[in-house]
Amino acid sequence: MSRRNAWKLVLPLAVLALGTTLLATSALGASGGVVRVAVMTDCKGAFGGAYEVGAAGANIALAQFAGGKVKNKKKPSAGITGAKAGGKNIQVVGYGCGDDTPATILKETRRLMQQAKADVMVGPLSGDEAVAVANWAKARPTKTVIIGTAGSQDPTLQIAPKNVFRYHGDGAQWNAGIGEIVYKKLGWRKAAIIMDDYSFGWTSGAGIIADFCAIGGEITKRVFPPLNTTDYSSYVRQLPPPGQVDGYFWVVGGTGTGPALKAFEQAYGTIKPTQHSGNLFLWFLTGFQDVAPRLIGSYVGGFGTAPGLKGKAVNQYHAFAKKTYPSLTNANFDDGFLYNYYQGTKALVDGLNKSGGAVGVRLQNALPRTLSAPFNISNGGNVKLDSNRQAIQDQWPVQIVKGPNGPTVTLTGYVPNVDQSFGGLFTKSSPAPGRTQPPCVKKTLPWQGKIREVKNGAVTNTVIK
Amino acid sequence: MSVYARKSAVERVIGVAVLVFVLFAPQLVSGFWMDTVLTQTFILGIGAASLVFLSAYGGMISLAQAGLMGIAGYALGNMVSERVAGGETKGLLLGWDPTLSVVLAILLTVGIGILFGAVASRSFGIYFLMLTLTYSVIGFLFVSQVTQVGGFSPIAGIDRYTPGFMGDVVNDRQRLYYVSLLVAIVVYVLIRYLVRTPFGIALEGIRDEPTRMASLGFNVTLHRTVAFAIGSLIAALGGVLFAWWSGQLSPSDIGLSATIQLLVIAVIGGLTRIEGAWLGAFAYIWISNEVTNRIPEDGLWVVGGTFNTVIGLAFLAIVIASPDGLMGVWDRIWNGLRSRGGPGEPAVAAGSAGSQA
Amino acid sequence: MLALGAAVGIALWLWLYRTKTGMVIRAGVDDRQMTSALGINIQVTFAIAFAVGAALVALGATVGTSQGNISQGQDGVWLLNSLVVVIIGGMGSLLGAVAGSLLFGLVTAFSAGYLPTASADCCTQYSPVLTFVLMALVLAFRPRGLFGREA
Repeated sequence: MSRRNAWKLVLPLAVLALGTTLLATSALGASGGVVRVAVMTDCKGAFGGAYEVGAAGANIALAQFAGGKVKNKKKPSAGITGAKAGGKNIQVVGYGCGDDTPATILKETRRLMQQAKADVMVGPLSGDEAVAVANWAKARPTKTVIIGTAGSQDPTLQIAPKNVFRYHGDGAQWNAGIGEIVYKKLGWRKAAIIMDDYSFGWTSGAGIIADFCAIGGEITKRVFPPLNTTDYSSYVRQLPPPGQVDGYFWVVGGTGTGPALKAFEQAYGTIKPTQHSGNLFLWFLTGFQDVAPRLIGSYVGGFGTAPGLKGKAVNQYHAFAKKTYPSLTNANFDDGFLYNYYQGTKALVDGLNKSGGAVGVRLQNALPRTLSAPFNISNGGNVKLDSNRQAIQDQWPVQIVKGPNGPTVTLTGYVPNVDQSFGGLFTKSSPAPGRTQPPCVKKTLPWQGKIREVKNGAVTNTVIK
Repeated sequence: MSVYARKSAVERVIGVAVLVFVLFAPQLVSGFWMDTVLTQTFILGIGAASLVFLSAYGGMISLAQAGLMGIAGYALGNMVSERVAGGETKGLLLGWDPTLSVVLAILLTVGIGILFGAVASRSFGIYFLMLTLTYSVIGFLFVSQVTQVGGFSPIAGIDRYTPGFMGDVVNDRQRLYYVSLLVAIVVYVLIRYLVRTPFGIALEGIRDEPTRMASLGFNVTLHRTVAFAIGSLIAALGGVLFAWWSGQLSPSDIGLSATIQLLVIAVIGGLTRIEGAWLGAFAYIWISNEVTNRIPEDGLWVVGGTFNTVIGLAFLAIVIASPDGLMGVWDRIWNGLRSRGGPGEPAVAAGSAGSQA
Repeated sequence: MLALGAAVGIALWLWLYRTKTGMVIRAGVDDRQMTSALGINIQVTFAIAFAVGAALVALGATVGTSQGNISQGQDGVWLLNSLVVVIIGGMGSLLGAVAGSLLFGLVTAFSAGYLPTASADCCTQYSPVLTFVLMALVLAFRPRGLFGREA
C-alpha cells in the first residue's frame, strides 16, 4: 500500500501495541496493613459541581482526626497522605466519579471496591446512586458503606443492609418542621405542592407532606413536572389558583426553580411570601434573583446544616476547615455536600480507632452509634443512629430575609431529634416516597409542638405556637 | 494458496487460540478480570452483535438494540422479584418462576421488537436511525416515569432469582462466565449460519438494492421486520445475561447513554464484520477500565480529567484512521497484501462485508 | 418570539430559494458530484451552509434560554427535541421544519396541560413520551416525515 495510507494502518496498530504493553503491566497488588477507602462523589451530571466539595469534606475529617496532610490546598481531589487510624495507614484509593445515574456508580463501585480492593466507601452522593450501592452492599457483607450525602429513603429503611450507615438525615427529614411552621405561623390549612417528578423530588416532598398533614393540614393537589422541563406554564396551570389554597410548596430544583416561579407569576400574579414555601432548593437564590426579593419572608425547609448557628463546636469546625482549605469559605463548610462527607469520614476514623484498624464486620460493629456533630444541639451535641444505622438529626428550617447584598437565608427554627420514620409513618414495608406516597394523614410526630424559634443564630426558648 | 484463503486460515487459527484462552481464563486471570472485563465483553458483545448483524447484513443501523437489552432485563426483573419482607420494593414484583420468567422476558422483547420493526421497516437510512433512537428514548421514559414498572431507582436483586442451572450468581461468578461465553458462541454461530441461508442472502440484497429486490417480488418490509426481530432476540439474550451479571437495572441501562455505548462499541470493532462486536466490546471495556485507573489526579494535560474525554478521543482516532473499525484495520492489512502480490489475483475492492461472510 | 421566528423562517426561505448561494446549496444537495464538476467549490458552499445553520442554532438558543433555563446536560435534551422536529417535518424541507416544530411545541405544551389527571398516579407521567409517540406515528404512515424528500 502507498506510504500516504500507511499511517492509517500504523496508528491503530500503535494504539494496540501500547495497549497490550499496558495490559501486561496492569498488575494490581494487594498489600496488608493498610485500610483502603474510596470516596465516592459526582463529577458529572446534575451534581457535578460537588466533586471537589465532597472530597474536601472527607479530607478535612482525615486531616483533623487521623493526622493526614492534604496534598494540595487548592484542589481537594488531589488527595491526602499520612492519615492513620487504629494503628493502620489509611489510603484513599480514589475519588470516584459518578454522574447521578445508578449505572455509572456501579461501574465506579466495581472499579474502586473490587479492582482497587477498597474496604470502605464514603459515599455516594445522590439518592438513586445510594439505592444502587445499598443493593450492591447487601450482597457483600465484608464491605462497609458510609453514605456521603444521598437523600433517598430506601438505603436505610427498605433495604437497610447491616453494612450501610448514614450519619445525616434523608431528604424527608431535611424538611421536618416546615409544615408545622407554616401551619402555625402563617395559618395555612390547605396547600398544593409542586415537585420534580423524580425520586429526590418525591422524597423531599414526602417530608413536607408528612409534616404538614400530621399537624392537620391538607394537601389538595400534587403536581409533577418532569425533569428537564423548560416551560413550566402547563404545570403551573394545574395548580389551584390562590383563592382555593392558603399556600404552595415548591420542590422544583436545579435550573427550574426560577422559571417555575416566574411561570407562576405570569399565571396568578405577583408572588406573596406568605403564600409560598418550599424545600432547600429555595436556598439557592442566585438562581432566581429577579423573583427572590418578592420571597423575602418565606419559610423554607432545611438541609440538616445550620448556617449562621453560633456555638463553640461550629467555630472550631470552621476554623480547622479554613486552615485545611483556605480557598473555601464558611458557605462551603455549611454546605451539606461538604459537611456530610466530613461527618461520615469522622465516624469512619472513630470506628477504625475502636476496631484497631480491622475492617469488615468488626469495623461495622465498631462504628459509632453516637457521633459529635457541630450542627446538632440535642443529645449533648451528638447525632444518634437508630436501629437501621440511620441518623436522628436536628433540623433547621430557614427564612428568606433581606441581607446586605440582597436576599439571603437565616435560621428560623430548631426541630429536635428528627427520625427517619416520622413517628411510624414510614416503615420498612411502606413503599418508597412517590407520587401518592405518603398519603395525607394526621399523626403525632415526635417533634410536634417542640419546634423552637431561632434568632440571630441562637436557639431561644420560645416554642412556636 | 490465495491470499484470501490464507487470511481465512489465519483467522481460524486466531479464533481457536482465543477460544482456548477464554475457556481456561478463569484459571489464568484474576477474578476481577474474569468477571468485570471478560464476562462483560461477552455480554456487551452479544448486544453489539445484534447491532452489527443488522447493519452489516441488513443495512439498518439500529439504535434500539441497547433499549431492547434493557427492556429484556426490566421484564425479567419485574417478573422475577417477589414481594417479601426485606426484599426488593421496586417494580411489579410478580414473583414468577425464574426459568419461566427468562423465557417470557425474551418472548416479550421479541414481540416488542416485531412491533418496532414493523413500524420502522418502511423507513430507510437516517429516518430508520432516528426512529430506532426514539424507541430507546421511549423505553427510557417509560420505565422511569411509569413507576409501577421501575422508576428512577434501580430494580435490584435480580441475581438472587436465577434458574437452577445458573446456580448462585451472586457468589459464584464462574458459571455466569461460562454461560455468557456459551451464549456468545451460539449467537456468533447463529449469525454466521443465517447469512448463508436464502433469507440471509435476500437480506443482503435488500441492503444493497431495495427497489430492485421489490421488483423481483421479495417482500422488503417483511424481510426487514424479520431481521429486526432476530436482532431483538439476540439483544434479549444479552439483556437477560446483563441482568444476571449486574443484578440491578436502572433507566440509564435503556436510555441514551447505553445506546451510545453500544454504538461506540460496534463502531470501534467494525460495523462490517460480526467478530467486530466482541473485539469492540473488549477494547471499550479495557480502555475505559485502564484509563479510569491511570488518569492522574490532576487530570490529563489539556483535555482534563474525565475518562469520557479519553474514550472519545480514542474513538475519534480509530474512526478517522479506519472507518471500518479495528476489524477494518485487519481487513486492510490483508487487502494490502492482495493488491501487491499473488499472481493471477483479480483486483478486488476493499472491505466489502458481503464477500467476507 | 413568534415574530422573530416567522421573520427568520421567511429570511431563510428567501436566502435558499432566491439567492445564488442558496441555489448552489440546493444543487449540491441534489447532486454533489455534478455541481462540483461544474466548477463550483462545493466544500466552501457546504461550509457556508453549516455556518448559517450554526448561526440559526445560536439565535434559537439565546432566545430560548433567556425565556427558560439552561444547565449542563441540556444539550442532550435539545438534541433529541430537534431530531424529533426534523424527522416529523421531513428532511430537506423548510415547510417541514415549520410543521414539525409547531406540532412538537403544541404536543409538548398541551399534553402537559390536558392529559387527564384522574388520579395522582395517572397520565401526566406520559407527557414526555407523547412527542416521541407522535414521531413514531408520523413515520409509520409517512416514512419520510410529513414533507420529506428522498433520504
